[in-house]
Amino acid sequence: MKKYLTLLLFFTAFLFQSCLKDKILYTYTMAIPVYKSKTEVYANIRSNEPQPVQSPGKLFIRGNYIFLNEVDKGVHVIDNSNPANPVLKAFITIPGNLDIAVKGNTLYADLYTDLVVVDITNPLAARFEKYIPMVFPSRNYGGSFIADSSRVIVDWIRKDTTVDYSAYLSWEKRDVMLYATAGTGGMQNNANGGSPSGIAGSMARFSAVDNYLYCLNSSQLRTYSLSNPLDPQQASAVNMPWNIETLYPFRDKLFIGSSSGMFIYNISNPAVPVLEGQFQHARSCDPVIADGNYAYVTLRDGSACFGTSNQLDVLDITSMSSPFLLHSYTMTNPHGLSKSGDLLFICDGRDGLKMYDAGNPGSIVLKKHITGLETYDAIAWNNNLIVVAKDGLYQYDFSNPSSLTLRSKISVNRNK
Amino acid sequence: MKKSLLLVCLLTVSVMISAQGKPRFSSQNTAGILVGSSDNAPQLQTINGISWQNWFTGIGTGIDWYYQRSIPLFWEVERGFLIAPRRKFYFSSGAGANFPWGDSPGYISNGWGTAAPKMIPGFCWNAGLGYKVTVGKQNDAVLLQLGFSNKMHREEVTTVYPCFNPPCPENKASYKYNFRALSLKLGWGF
Repeated sequence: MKKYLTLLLFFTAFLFQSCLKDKILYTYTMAIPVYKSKTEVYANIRSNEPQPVQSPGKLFIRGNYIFLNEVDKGVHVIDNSNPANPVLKAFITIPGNLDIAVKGNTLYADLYTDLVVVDITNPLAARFEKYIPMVFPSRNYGGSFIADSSRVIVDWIRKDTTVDYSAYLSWEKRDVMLYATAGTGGMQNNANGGSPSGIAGSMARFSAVDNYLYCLNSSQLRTYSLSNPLDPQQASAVNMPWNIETLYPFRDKLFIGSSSGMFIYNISNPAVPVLEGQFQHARSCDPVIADGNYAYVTLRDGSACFGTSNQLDVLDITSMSSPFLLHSYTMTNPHGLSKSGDLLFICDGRDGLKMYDAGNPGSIVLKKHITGLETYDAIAWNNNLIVVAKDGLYQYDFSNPSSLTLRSKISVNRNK
Repeated sequence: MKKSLLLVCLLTVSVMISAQGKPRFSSQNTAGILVGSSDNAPQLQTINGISWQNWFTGIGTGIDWYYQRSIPLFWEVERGFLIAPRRKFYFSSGAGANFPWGDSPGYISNGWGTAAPKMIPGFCWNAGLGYKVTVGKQNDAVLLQLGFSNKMHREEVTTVYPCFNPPCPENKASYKYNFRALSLKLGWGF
């Protein structure tokens, strides 16, 4: 019996040691900014060697070229003479770039808060012309991070860091899971529109129309005169509701998507846009396009717009001053959209790409649904549909309206 | 590692079978509490296997609510020491896999972005000292066991931060959980 009691004693002593302490190790990625002087950055805004596509953003078509934004890095120049075999020809390095627009031989792009003007007379020999400071003040970094404003962040070095998270055990007890709650730093903006000089996607935040460039800030519409395209001059600034996101020019109107509704601005006097009509909707992000007497607005959740709706709203805009809802269609997570004739293409986020017959906008019919890709934005032009997805740039032939045939894909390559 | 574990299993069973006596099916079903530095939580367990003389081995599972609910699946071995007629102490030890049982929501959309958590099973083990009192004419017994329980698992979370236009910035993080608790169990065996 004594033997067992001794064993019990040892065992109990073992149990009550510090071995009862729980432990959680939290591993996260820490990002450290890499700075360059502004002089160096401006000197490098030119056509450099082509780079692999790693994080495709917005796109713009001009002639046989596709200008594809590489998020926060610059613009890919893609020779699309043969859509079945697009070729990366050059890369215009523009740190902090999210949006692009083209007018004639001039490319306008954001560089964080600034607007840069690039001469693309020869897209393969692009050169920096000038910059206009603080056109997009909302692109400043937020949260607790304060960037060195005398220089430009050109990259981030990422390091995995492991810390002991056990101290949070007592108050973060959950039967489900813990997940990162860090802030976003700065929210991303973006750009684009339609102009005689080319075609933009529906997620654009700035757009050149005739001799004017319209730029959306988060709460302001700024107009720049392009009498001299290489030297834009501010013509006006119109205050708008907070969280305006996308801009789509249509006839003599600008359709502006915001998180709370769609606004129609009249640009008969292009220097000073005037509000003509608006349509309020549930809080959501909402790219918009227009065609004929109808506007198509996608609403999605999971974004900076806070909304919970995921749908396509078709609006009757016969009267621009009082647009009204014709019909709503349920979607999964719709982003950008494009229309060609009766065909309506919707990038439904993680639910892929959808092609509808929108001959009757009050009752659109799904003709084709391609899954397995996470789509963001699209441009349909000349029977060729260019789609930006998380994993690359796709091109589809839609000359046969009952099918979509993949022509080519430039895959994302994050390893290089 | 797997080969070694299999070898130990086979060896234990073969020793038991080759020894004198007749192995018989045996089951232990217990309920108890887990007491640790961050939580006090209930647990349920059932271990089923074969018993022979003073040995018992079996496969166990149950529900462990300590901090994050999980289902352990383990192989258990016990060795008893008769201290009086119908009463014995026994040492027990087990090891296996710990499967987190969270309400995985897949895509969580909270207006501030989307988080996709993924729970990954880990290792678990236990050791303890028990007291067994046989009741009735058959092999029914009341079990009382004090022990140590250690369970581990991992959680990988990909959070897509909100932005107006995609692709939105992503963050990948992981949590490595290692929970240690004192285990007190009371149950019925046969």
